[in-house]
Amino acid sequence: MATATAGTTAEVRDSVLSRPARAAALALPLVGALLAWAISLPGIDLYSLDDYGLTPALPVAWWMGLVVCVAGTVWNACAGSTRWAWAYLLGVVAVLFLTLPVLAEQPHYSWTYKHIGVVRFLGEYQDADPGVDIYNRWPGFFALSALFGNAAGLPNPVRYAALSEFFFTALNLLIISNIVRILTGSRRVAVVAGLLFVLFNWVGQTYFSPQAMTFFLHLVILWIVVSQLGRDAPGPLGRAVLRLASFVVRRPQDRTLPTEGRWMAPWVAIALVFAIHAAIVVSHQLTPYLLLFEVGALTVLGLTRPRLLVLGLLLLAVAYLAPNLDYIREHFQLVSSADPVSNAQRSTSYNFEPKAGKAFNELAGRSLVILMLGGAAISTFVLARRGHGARALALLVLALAPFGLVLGQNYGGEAPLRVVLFCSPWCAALIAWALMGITGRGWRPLLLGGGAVLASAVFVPANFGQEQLHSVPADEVRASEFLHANGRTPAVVMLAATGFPRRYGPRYPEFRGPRGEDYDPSLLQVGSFRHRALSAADVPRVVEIIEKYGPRGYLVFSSTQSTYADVFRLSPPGALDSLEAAIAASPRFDLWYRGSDARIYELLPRPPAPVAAAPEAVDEPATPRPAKRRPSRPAQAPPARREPSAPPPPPVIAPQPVLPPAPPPPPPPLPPPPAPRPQPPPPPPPPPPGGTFDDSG
Amino acid sequence: VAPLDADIPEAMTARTRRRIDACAIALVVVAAVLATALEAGSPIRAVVVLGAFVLVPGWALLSLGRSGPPAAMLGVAVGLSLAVDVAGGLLLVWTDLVDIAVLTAIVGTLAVLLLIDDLVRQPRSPLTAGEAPATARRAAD
Repeated sequence: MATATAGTTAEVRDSVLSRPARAAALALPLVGALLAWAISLPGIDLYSLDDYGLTPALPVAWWMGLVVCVAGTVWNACAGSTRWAWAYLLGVVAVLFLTLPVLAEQPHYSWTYKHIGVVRFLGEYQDADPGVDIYNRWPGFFALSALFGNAAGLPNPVRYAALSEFFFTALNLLIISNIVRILTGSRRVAVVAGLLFVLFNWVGQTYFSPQAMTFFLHLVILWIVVSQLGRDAPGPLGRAVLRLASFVVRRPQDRTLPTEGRWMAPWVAIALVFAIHAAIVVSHQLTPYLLLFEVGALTVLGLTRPRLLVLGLLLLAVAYLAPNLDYIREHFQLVSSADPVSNAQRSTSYNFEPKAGKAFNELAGRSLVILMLGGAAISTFVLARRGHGARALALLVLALAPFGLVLGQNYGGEAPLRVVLFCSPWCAALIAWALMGITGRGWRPLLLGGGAVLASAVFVPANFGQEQLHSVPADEVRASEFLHANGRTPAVVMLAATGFPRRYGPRYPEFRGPRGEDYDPSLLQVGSFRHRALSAADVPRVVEIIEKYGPRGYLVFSSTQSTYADVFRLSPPGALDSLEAAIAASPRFDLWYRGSDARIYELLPRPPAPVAAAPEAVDEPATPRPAKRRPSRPAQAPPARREPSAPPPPPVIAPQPVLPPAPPPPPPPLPPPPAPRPQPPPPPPPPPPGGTFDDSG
Repeated sequence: VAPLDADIPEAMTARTRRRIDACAIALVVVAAVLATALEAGSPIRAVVVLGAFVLVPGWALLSLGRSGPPAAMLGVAVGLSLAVDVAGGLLLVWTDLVDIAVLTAIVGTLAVLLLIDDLVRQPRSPLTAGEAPATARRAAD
């Protein structure tokens, strides 16, 4: 029926306009929108944002470009011009996900750089070392990137990583639209579902990361399962659910499932599923189990076959996990909590009374989630009222299955983000199908267009609202590169606060210190440094913290870290500047790198003790990992100081502490502090300020 | 029950499949030439190699089977290509067996051989090339 309506609309339009004229009329708004977007970009200053992020900095022309692309997608989908709807949808993706790569060559999110560091490590040494970190234990994505970088002549992914969000979003759309088209039988619903998926998916998980690739691969598996291995009718449990739905909505439910689009032999489909699942299993820790939830739920309801497929997928995932189980237990938690409410709490720095702008952005994200989940619930009811039982059930099951994650894991506080990512395609499909089925003249484009524009308006602050923190200045990337290329190792890289692009170089395993347990220490992780003024009296404590990791270390101050501390109110204004001034004046530190946005101080060794002491165990070189082909490094030249005579910036210098003579070389554990100092009251145990930091990717 | 659109995508024709095969072969050849001729850091080289990486291995494997709808085949080909690339990358970092250049050359050569095989198998008759699904000949075999 809908096809006939669309065909009539197209015929009427064709009768009024010739084909070239029609194409020009349809293309003109898209070209204009993209031109407006392109023209608006030079007016955006990415590095002078307030705590509302990019949203208030976006020019009117940028918003016009976005709104025209969104409206054009909806209008063309409603009118039956699906090819033009796709063109406009790609325009939406370009406006949303190419804006930042055009404005800044280096990728945003400081945690992207640790993924880049792993790729560079594998590319240089061609050897995954399980002792380094969890990424070397699940190296699929990084090994692929290293392979590609070598063939493409781009061993450092920083050159292309910024385009990852555009690339993976476009790929996701391709598969999601195929699945939706199979289940709903409508290409128009498919393109609208794609649009809503883009607008609902504000969680920023398509950056250069293993989960971006494995999410796409999991969609490919779901496409195979739904379209090539689906049954023609639900099983007993699925039929019982449909009977219940019939009773609730008082309408009979269609029990047929799509079987027309099959073109693979079942054994081929199953072989493909296992091949792609294997690539997921070796690349990401979480995705295989979310896929299992989804395929398992479809299987239990009898919507797909064979049942043993789930068992095979589970065995493959567990077989890879088993040899890594001890590492996971030691460094993470296999099951964090059995309380789903606790696991669903998103523990971020927002719990730290952030500024108003950050609170607003968080509210925007939550609103979008409520809009998505509420819309999906209402749409399910509407679709049941229309009798689309079995097909809507498949989409509903896929939307609900990811919630199984919160039954046992909070995933470092990121479980809600992952649930949103995995259920957003299917919520979008349910909403798109319900809205595209509205038959009243004018209501469909009005509701759909209004909803999509509203979702766009909420998406922008939810997704771009934190660019003040997420955009990494080029100088900080240069500083990190310089540090990883010239730093003397073993040493620890200590940050003043979160936000610096660390672990960026191929030598990153050498920068956690010989006694270090983690790669990401920062001073503001230590509660006693928060929420108070900092001065020279804190320098010995800084030294003590660094020496926990080893005798050598680098302390980094940067503009992103200062912004982080300010936005989340971790330190009063000027506290980090005062601390940096004291560090610069301390004889224990030497200014080692100075750029426009970052300064790096090297911790100097303690003065020699008057009595000869036994050799320090801590001065031994870091235990080298057994590298198969790792080349021997040239001797490290003394680090060059960029601007050796440049004084540290802020003049707020507290009285310089006079350090007593150094005690004999400190055997582990730590020596007593050199001088008594007033201790601040112990703060309440707060959640870590790492924002969305997630060591497991 | 409200009627469905029943807009099921159709399988691609043999002609379309031949064209994609030819494009994939050309992509591999151009990528190999650019990888040796252009210096590291060239954007053209990166784009062409990316195209070859994300499309060719998977499409070559899919060419062993029947034809499906173009969009679906494209999506599965990309997914399968990434899986093959992951396997190649793991071979590199988990074993001492291969060198990167040798590995990419082997994968590229195998893919081209499969694509050439598929290219010559597709029906070429002007009467059927644009209509018959690529599976026709295989099914007859």
